[in-house]
Formats: sequence, structure tokens, C-alpha cells
Amino acid sequence: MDPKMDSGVLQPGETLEHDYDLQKDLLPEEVVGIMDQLLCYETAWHEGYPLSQNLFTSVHLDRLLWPEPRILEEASFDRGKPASPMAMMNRILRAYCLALIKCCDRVIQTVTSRDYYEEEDFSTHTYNRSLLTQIDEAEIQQELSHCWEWLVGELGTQYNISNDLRRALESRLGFRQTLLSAMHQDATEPLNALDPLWRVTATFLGDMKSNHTLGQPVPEAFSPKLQRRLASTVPPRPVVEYTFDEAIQKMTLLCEHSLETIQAIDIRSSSAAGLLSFTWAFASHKPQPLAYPRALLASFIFGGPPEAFSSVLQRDLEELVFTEDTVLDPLNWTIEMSRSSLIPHDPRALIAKTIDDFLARISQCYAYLWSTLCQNRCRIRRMLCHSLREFDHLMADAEIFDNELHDLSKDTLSNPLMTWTYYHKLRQVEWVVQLGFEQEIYQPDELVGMYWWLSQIASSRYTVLEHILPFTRRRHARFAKKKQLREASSVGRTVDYVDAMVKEAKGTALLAGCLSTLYALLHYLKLLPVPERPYSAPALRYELRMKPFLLTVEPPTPPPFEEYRQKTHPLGDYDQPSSDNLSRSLKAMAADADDAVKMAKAEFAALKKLGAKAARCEAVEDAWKKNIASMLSSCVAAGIATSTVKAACSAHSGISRPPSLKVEMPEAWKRYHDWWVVPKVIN
Amino acid sequence: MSDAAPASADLRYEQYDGTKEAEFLPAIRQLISKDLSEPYSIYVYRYFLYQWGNLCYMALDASNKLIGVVVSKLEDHRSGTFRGYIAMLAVQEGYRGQGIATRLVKMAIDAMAARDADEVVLETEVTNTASLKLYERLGFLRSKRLHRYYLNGNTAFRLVLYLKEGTAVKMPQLLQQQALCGDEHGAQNPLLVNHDLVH
Repeated sequence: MDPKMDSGVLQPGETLEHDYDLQKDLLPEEVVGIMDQLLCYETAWHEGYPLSQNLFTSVHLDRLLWPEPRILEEASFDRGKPASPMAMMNRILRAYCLALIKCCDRVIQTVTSRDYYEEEDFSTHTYNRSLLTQIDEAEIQQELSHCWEWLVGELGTQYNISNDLRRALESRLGFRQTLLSAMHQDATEPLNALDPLWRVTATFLGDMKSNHTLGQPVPEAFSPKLQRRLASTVPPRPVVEYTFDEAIQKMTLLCEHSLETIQAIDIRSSSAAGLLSFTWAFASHKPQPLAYPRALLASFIFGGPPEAFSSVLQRDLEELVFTEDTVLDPLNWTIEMSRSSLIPHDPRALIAKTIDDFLARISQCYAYLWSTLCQNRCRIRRMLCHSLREFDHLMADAEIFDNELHDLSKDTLSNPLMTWTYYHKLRQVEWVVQLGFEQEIYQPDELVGMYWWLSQIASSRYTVLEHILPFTRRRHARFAKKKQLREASSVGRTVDYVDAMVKEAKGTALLAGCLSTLYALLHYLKLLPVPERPYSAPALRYELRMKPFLLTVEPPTPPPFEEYRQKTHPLGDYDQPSSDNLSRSLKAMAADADDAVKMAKAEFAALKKLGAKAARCEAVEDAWKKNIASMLSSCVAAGIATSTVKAACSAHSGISRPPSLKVEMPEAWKRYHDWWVVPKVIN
Repeated sequence: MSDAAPASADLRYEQYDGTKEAEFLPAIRQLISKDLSEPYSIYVYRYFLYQWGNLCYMALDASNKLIGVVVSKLEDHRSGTFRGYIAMLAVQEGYRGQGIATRLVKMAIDAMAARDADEVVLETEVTNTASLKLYERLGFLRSKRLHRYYLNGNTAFRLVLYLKEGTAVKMPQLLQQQALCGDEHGAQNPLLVNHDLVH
């Protein structure tokens, strides 16, 4: 047998069983060593590797879990042997292991309670072993406490163990206690206690890092052989090793991300746009949050009573199109529909019914969108492609509901539900394209087209916002005039918010337009190569690229290929431009790009001035500021590129290729902003 | 290319033939598994070669030694397209950089196109620049990024080449309306994921 083809094959002289003696009295430093190795394996599991390749190689965990213990006492290292008093160090390790297993159980429950992707995000396989699911957490906490008290108490101090080692053990027991408590909470319980728990857990990790060297590794307490006995059709696979420093770093991040998710509860009840910016900021962390904190966030977004999430949808409508509008007046829902065909329905009851019908129609798509944003970054892009289509399909329904509303409420924005739905669709189209830049989906010669498309979408979006803005301003002025201060202030916030979004959308459209023109220019100047691609045709590549948007019916839909080609090749083929006065045309293009980037910068600067609160991003103000700063830096870089090209075009009038220019494409990690691929043009 | 590199000029390119399984299958397995940390079982090879042996091409030297191989399949995909899939591609280390892999891939694509394929797809690791270059030079585009696609935790790009117009808007015959979350689930087949190449 070839071990490469059958990783389960026993080598000559190798036995199936490990030969580690579980009853052996452990030294304190060995206990620390084993605990720290377990933390490394726990990290690997959180990162997505199955238990068989990490924690389930622990001889200690194996003994505790198999055969399945019915009561806590059965989960011991000396199973089947006559009970004898356990050495205290072994007992401490056992308590740590029990809590570790229970933590894993909690993690699996949290992750599987939300949408996740097996193996891709996380592996929930337990190989038919129950992770102490039936054992009460309190019993395990009690065992941890007992060990802790022994350590810090008189008996412990009599034990021959250095203070440093005692503290090392204390911090590890403390870490398990707080982590288990933090993970035990869920969205249905009071959450004020959670915040300190995650903080303390992270602090313990810091302590553990500082005293890790006191531990003594016990490699024989881990055996990849154990994989052979797990209920699985998958052959044994290599054990995944992380260093202790990596483990501490990743687990600390897991605590920080988990801690951060708690904020979602408060934000959820105050602003839908705020929750959206929070969720994006969370999803944009680098490294990206692991499956557990993402599931935690999803449970805070969706958890609690059903009305908690549906109120987010209602708030979303209110913040964009119905601020202080009678359409959402709670009173409407208190009025009964007329029971007699002779008495007409009260319009308010009809409004309530129309809105309820719309909410019912959209709620699933809306929930899918939020669930999408809680996925891993690659999934977000792919699921948005589905989500945007659903929103696109909703437009026709929204129009019907709008027609109903039109007859019922005169002082309401025209087509509010369509406007809202369309706005959300456009944002998703933008995200799909922008995440495409971030995930390096597009090749350099595709950037002309993709930035052109992005600028089309963002332009449509600010057109939508500019439809909302004057109406909202008028409403604000009316309330202000009537000294209805609460209403005026509430509408004022929406004015600010829409205004901020206008600037953001305009800036996006302009910068995208600038880059599209700039890249086209670089092609005409033969500074960026276009691969030959003998097996493909431009029209087929266009179709493939636009696939996520082709099945949509509402504008902007991707134009026919010829039109697209014309937009992205304004002077004809890059190889053979057909302009009468090529150098003048090129100069004009360079000037256009230069103007666009200046205007884009002005829009982003104006957005910055409006502030995070206006953009309903106050909960993530730092991230918001950083994001704008990065967009502004992208503008500066694009400005340098366009002016370099512009100057070169002017200096070399009459020839199509300024000889001294060179283009460098930035590597993904060197960009100022993931969504803006700005070339470096060197003279 | 160093002077010592074996010349690719004398190579023959041949379609795989099931009657020669005994002669070539062990060599194919050896060549492909050499570059993979976790090789495929014999059944994976047979899955492809029994059904789509005519989409498998080999580069052989004068003494019939296997220098390179491409293994692929072609079938109806649930998206509604007739989809070609390049499953494995490998070239002996000493022969890399001479266009052998490109030629093998071209032969596979030609064969798929001749059988009326709508598209050709494959996955490759995001860090495998040699592989990305090879396919992108031919006309493949990256369509999506797949987080932790491989069992070793690595992320992949899906690469796609359309061969016919209208491929993007094809619909499954039975399922005209896609379920909301339906499309992505189960898209990853751990059997068919490894792609190793060629510098």
C-alpha cells in the first residue's frame, strides 16, 4: 500500500492505538503545554478545518468523549478503571478540556442556526460524537471554579508549583470560564453582561501569550492516529498546525469581532441605514471575520421577536422615502377595514393594508440581502448577484402598490416603493462590480468597461436620490415653518442622509468615469496591452461579464454589445483609432478624465464635510472616515495619472504615443482603496 | 528555457483511448498525483476517462512516455448550459514552459466546441499564476472567487470561456424560475477541484 494513496495505512511496526498513558500524573508545565496546543487546534477549527485535523487528535479529548458520557463524571481520563482520586493537575486539564468541548458545542449551535456553508466557512462534523450537548454548562463552570479556587486557595499554595506557573494555569482556566459564558449567551437573553465577558476573554489571551513559554509541550498527547477511529468515509488528512502566536492573534480577533457584533442590537433598533453601514464595516475587516462572529452578527440582526427584524425593513422605508409621512403613521394600523360594502374603506386602513402587503411581498428578499451581508466576502459578491435580480423583479410589484398609494395619500413622494426598491437594486449592482475589483475578478483590459458600467449605475443611483431630495427638502421647510420641531428635525436628518448619498453616488460615478476614460486612453496610447485571446470573442466576453445583470428588466440593463463597444472605444479600435485628429481627441479625453476626477474629489470632500452622522454612519465613524480618506487618496492618485497623461499628450501633439510614459498596475494590496484600481503612470 | 530542457518538438499529441487503459492510466495517475498533496482515487480517473476519454489528450515522447495530459468532461449543467469542464492538467516538470499545456487545453476546447459545448469552465488556485496566465491568454475570464474552495483551505477562481452567444441567459429546462438561494448550493465538488500546472 502507498501511504499517499491510503493515508490510513499502518506503517510497518506501527500500531493502531496510541501509547500515551492518560493516568500519568502531569506536571503543571505539561498541563500548560497541552492547553496551549489545544488552543492552536481550536483556532484551526474556527478557521474552517474539520475537528479530525485538529482538536480530535487530542488523546485527552478522545478519552473524555468516547464512549459518549451520560453524566459529567463519566467524562474522565481514567474511564473504566476503578475510581481513584485524580491528581489535581489532571483534574485542571480535564476541566479545561470539558469547557473547551462545550465551547465547540456552542459554536456549532450558533453557526448552524444561521446561513453558512459547510466546509467553505466552517466544518460542523463531530464524527458522531456528542460535544457534551446534554451536559449542563453550569456543571462544567462549577468544575472550572473548583479548580480555580484550589489553585488560588490554601491547598494550591501548598502544592509545589511556582507562582508564575500558577498564574499561567489561572489565566487559562479564566479564559475558558469567560469564553464559555460569552458563548453561552444568545440574542434572546439580556446582553448587557456580554460586553465585559468578551473583553475579559481577550485580556486572558494576552496573559496566556505572556506566559506561554512556561509550558512544556507534550507532543505524545496528540495523535493523528485517532482519525482512523472517527466515523467518517474521509481518509485521514494532515493535521493543521498553527503557532501559538498565530492562535492567540486569531482568537483575540475572534473575541474582538464577537464583541463588536453586540452593537448591532442597539443599532438595529435605531436605523436601518446605520445597521447597513455597520454590517458592511464589519464585513470589511481584514482579516475577514470568521464564521462564528459572522453567525453571531446574523443572530443579532435577525434574532429576538419576529417584529424586531421586520421593523428594520419598515425603518428602511421610513429613512429613505417615508420620513414623517402619513403612510407609516401607526394610527393607520388601528383603523379597521369597513365591513359593509356600502361604506367605503377608510383610506388610512387601506394604506396600512397596502404597506403590509408590500412588506409581506418584500420581506423574504430583504432578509436574504441581510443574510448575504453576513457571509464570507466571496459569497457576498455571488449572493448579491441573486439578490439584485430579486429586487429587480420586485419593481413591477412595487409599481402596483405605488399606484394604490397614489390614490390614498396625496402628500407622498411619487412612486415611493419603486424608488426605494430601485435604489436598493442599484446599490447591489454597484457592490457586485466593486467587489469584483476588490476580488481581482477583472483583468486590466476589462477595467475600461467595468468602470464605465459602474459609472452608469452610480449615475442612475444619484438620479434616484435627486428625485427624493427636493420633495424631502420641501417637507422639511414646511415642518420648520409650522414650528413642528420634532418632525422638522427628523425630516432634516433624511435630507442630510440623502444629500450625503447623492455626494457619495456622484463621486463614485465621476471617479469611475474618470478611470474608464483613463484606461481607454492608455489603450489608445498603447501603454496597456490587450491579450489576443484566440479562443474568445469580445462579444462573448461581454456577455459573460454582464451575466449577473443580463436577466434584469429595469434600467440600466447592459446595452447591446455594439453600443457598449462604442462607449468603451470612443475613438474606434484601440489598435487603429479612427479619429480625424487623433492627438486632439486624445487630449480631449485626457482633459475629460482630469475634470471628472477633480469633480469626484470635490464630491467626496463634501461628503466628508457633511460627516458620519449625516450619512447615518456614526456607529462606525472611524471606519467611515478611513473609507472616505481612502477614496480621496484614490482621487489624488487618479488625478496624478490623468495629469501626467494630459501633459504628455500636450507635449507630443501629432504623435499618438508619448514615448516616455510607462504604466504600472497596482497590486491589490497596494491600492488606496480595494474598490478603486488606479494605475500609476510614470513619465 | 535552459539548454538542458528536453525539446518538445518531437512530442506526439493523442486522444486517450480506453483500450489502452493498462498502458496509460498508471502514467496519467502518476503524472497528476505528483503535483497534488492529496491524490485522487482511481475512481476519479475512471469517472472521467470512461465517460469522456475522447476529451482527454496526452502528449507523448518518442518512446511513448507520457509528458503531459489534460482530463475533462462535457455534460448538461443545471444552469441550462452544455458545459465543458477541465478537471486536470499536468505536464512533466522538465517540459514546462514550452506551450505543451496550452496545446493540450486547446485540443480539449476544440473537441468540446466540436461537440457543441456552450461554455468551458474550470477552477484554479488564486495563487497559481502560471495556470491563470495560460487560460486567460486563451480567452478565459474569472467569473467568481471561491473562498476556501480546496480541502487545504486555499481559495480559487472560477474561470469561464463562452463558446456561444446566449450562454449567459440560458435557463434550466425544468426550472425556469430559480429558487432564491438555490444556485450556489453544492456547487463545489471536492472530487473535481485540483488543478496543477506548469510554469
